Amino acid sequence: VIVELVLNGRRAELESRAGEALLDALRREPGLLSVRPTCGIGVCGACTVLLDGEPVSACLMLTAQAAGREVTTVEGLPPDDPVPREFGEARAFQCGYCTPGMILTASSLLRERPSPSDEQVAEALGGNLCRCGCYPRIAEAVRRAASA
Amino acid sequence: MGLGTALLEEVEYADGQVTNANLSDYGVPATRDLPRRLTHELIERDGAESHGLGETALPPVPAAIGNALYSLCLHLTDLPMSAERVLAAADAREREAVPQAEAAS
Repeated sequence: VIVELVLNGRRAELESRAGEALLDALRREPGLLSVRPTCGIGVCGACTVLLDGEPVSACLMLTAQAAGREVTTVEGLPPDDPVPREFGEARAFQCGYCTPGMILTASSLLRERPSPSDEQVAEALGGNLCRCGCYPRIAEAVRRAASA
Repeated sequence: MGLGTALLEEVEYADGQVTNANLSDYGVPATRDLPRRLTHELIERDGAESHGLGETALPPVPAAIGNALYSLCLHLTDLPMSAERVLAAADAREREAVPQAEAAS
């Protein structure tokens, strides 16, 4: 099936097999490899994309469910979004596998709450796992982005 | 971090099959599992080689947490020091404490 949607700010047609997860469709044809497969059951957050600005697990969504909606991956964040920059500044990663999902979740949080408490940051990022254990630096990056 | 090794992670089997093969059943630390405050010290030593360090390769962390529990008379010798094992150690501590209390009365 062909699914029409807005992908990273542009109208796009996504070719997808029936019953295929958005995760797989995004990785195959547009080649958005920042959307990362891991658990396949919506637990780890590595495949997080923004659906109309809200973080969702792309592994749990059918491509067809994204029809007519706005999907944002880390490539589609505005250039002036402070979150990616502050992740770099705070060195908030080791391997970087979880980073795109972390950035999207954090960016969505800061749009909703420009000055979140540490507790709210931890709560918001609770569904994004980091196997390297970089959580303190990730929290630091979000704090910096909030005050940027 | 080392917290996962210390507190949460264990591959479980039943009839030769792994029963916690995905992250829904095999817990790894998330943001809410972290202590509020975290301090560490890097010690320099002549001739020491640097090597990578990640969640699974941080031996001092389980030892530090084990010693903290031991300071409360909770003696755990198996990893992970899961909530169930800590509870069992607390029960064992109670059982050992009761005869002493009776002896005192």
